[in-house]
Amino acid sequence: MKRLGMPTKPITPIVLSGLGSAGLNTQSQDATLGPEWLTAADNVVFDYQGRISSRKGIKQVSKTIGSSIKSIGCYIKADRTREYYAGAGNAIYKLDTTVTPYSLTSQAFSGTPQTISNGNWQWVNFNDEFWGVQSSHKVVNFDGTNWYDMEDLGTYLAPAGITTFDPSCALGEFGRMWYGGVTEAPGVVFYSDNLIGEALSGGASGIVDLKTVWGNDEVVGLGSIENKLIIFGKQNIVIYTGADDPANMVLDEVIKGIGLAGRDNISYVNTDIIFMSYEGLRSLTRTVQNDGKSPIDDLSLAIRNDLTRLLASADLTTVKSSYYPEDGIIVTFFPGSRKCYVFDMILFASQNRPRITTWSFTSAPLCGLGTIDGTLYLGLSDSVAEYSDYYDVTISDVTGTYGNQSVCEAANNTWETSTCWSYTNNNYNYTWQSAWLDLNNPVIAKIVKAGLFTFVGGRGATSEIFIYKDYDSGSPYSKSFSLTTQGTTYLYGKLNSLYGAAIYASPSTAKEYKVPLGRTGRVIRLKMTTEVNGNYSSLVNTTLLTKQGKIR
Amino acid sequence: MLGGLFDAVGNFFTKNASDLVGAAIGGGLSYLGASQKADAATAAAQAQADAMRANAAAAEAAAQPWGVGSLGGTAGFDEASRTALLNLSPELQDIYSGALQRSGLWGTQALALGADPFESANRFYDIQQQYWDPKEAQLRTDLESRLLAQGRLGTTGGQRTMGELEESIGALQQVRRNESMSQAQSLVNELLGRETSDIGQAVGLLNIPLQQANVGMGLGGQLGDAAATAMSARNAAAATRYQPQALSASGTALSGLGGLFLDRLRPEKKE
Repeated sequence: MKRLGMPTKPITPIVLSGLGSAGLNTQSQDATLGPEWLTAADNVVFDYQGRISSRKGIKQVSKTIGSSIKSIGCYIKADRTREYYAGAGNAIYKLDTTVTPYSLTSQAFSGTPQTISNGNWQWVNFNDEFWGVQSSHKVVNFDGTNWYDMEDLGTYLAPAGITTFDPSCALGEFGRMWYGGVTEAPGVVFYSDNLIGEALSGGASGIVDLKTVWGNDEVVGLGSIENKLIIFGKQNIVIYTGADDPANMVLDEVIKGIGLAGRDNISYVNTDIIFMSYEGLRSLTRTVQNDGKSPIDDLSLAIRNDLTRLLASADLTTVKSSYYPEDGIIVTFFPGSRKCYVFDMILFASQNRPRITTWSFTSAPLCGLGTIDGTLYLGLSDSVAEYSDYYDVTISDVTGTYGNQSVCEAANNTWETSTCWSYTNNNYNYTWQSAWLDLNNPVIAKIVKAGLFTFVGGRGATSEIFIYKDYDSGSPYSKSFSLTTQGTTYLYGKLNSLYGAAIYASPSTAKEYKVPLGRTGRVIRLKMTTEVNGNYSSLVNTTLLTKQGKIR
Repeated sequence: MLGGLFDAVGNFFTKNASDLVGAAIGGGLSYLGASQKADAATAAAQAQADAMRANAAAAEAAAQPWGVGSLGGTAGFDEASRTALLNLSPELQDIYSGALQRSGLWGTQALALGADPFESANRFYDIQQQYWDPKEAQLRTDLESRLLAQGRLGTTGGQRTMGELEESIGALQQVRRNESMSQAQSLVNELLGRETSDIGQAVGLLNIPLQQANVGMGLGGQLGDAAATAMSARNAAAATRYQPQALSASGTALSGLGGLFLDRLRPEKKE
């Protein structure tokens, strides 16, 4: 018998418009954040429509070597072809992309080469040649044919007063090479003669001793913008203008208190320089109109303390940032924490702040290199990977099992000359978590009856939704559901997709998943972990169906 | 003498009868005559000489310089010691002494400067450099401040700019150093000129008594000339006066008489 009494309260849909669209925020009090902020965004990126999606896979593409790939550089040759070189262990390797998997070919040096003990090179293109610098090492030079220590070049001229020229950073701009971070003169920038990067005395070469500018700070990195030389110290940034004529260039600005946290954390994005300071990611923003200067922007304010904590404890020589133009992201690698911070710069120009997410790995990349052809190379502990597809892929030599081409290929492996390579696809998850949401009414309890989650793609991947209530971080209510296997999930083309490398939108429409949820609380938090099993997926929309509960 | 004569005559007679006697007589007379003529000439010459000596003494006395005095000093002559006594007036003596003293002063200074002209030039330069030092220091400070503000103090370009300033300062210092050498030389020349001038002035003062002496000497000389002329006339007169006395009439007579005797003794001429 139906009980008569108070009328049933209606179910009210609450659309969480733009859920998580602002990215990660761990800095603010999460009870005060709106639904646009996330308090966790692991392995998350924002797709081209700004929706929460998963990162691509870390796909090993090279054979393994015995050392960690700590640097990857792109050498643009005189004929405009590009070659890629990696620093690892005691050698420099060429990434040979003509074979599959790619080979890492150790490079031989002419002359009387030094003993290389690390792969932490900074690579510089200058005057048709490829230059590498790293701390406690002599500069190396590649002219497209031969590798030399710079000191073995016939035209090398040592800088005056320096016994061992071992710069840790360099810049090839304004018609000359610039070097900094020399052990014997850490506060001095050395610049070469015009177009002769190895001529460091006489001619138009010279030095910029910054002792009278910033005291005893030391040169960490070098950058350029317009006709300005940017010298990054640990606690200062010095900008010289008129850098095309270094003998007469003058100090434009000294920015005190802000320095560069690690040499490899300078990125050129749009027309700006983005760098990692000890307090987070910042924009130099020195290209404003009318020759004015706007304040340096803190781009990572939303995760400031997390970053500063990491930066304070990390070996900064291992912290590296790479800009990946295709996706418009800066990836900052913290291999010691097996973590990356990802700064989505697509909306940076309009919103003046990036959307921040994190990536995590079981085997973290050590470095990266974004190329103009849309590749993001990643240096792993023993090989090179690409940021592509939606599996984390590892390669192993299975020749012992599949000893000839036919059995190798029959087992869906790759045969190369006399080796059978097996590609192992590993699924991974991406997770996002909202702030505490009062759903526009912090006083009245809400009975969350169900959630409507609209996804694109996924192809059978499992997704699990967690719901927390009333600031209780334990005992969440969770529910798993599987994304549909229907439809083409690749919006922007996959070689083996139905339409090949199509650039058209997926014919598959978004699908809404209704997930029953039974939680009551004044404030709730949503967390979703979605598996990535080789397919793209993104969360289009989230709607909660709620009833009004008690007024507490 | 006469005894000898008679002895000769006697001898003559003795030897050669009458010829001898005659010869003796003639010779004796001639001798006597010649002797008397000689005596007369001697006496005349002595008288003439005495007259001329007196004339000469008179002329000499007349030609003695005069003592001359003026405001500038005196010029006197001590005939006995044959000494000229030239004196400046006290005022001019003071000037003379002052000029000599000053010349010594100039000379000392010139010697000090001229002994090592390069050191002298350095002294000039150092004295002037004291004026320029603060200005140069200010230029350096200004440039350093500018380079510091430009962040170029420790740069190669900044050092080059600083070097250019140093070059400029150095060039100006070199100009001043060269000028100092010229100035030192000029001063030495000037001091030497002053010394020479003062010495010349002092020496020139000495000409005043000398000129007075010349005046005195001129007066004496003129008088001496006149006296000489007069005395010359007197000498001529003396000569004229004593010339006749030089002729001995007895001597001439005796000589003629003696010739008579002697002519007879001469052999006849055979025609």
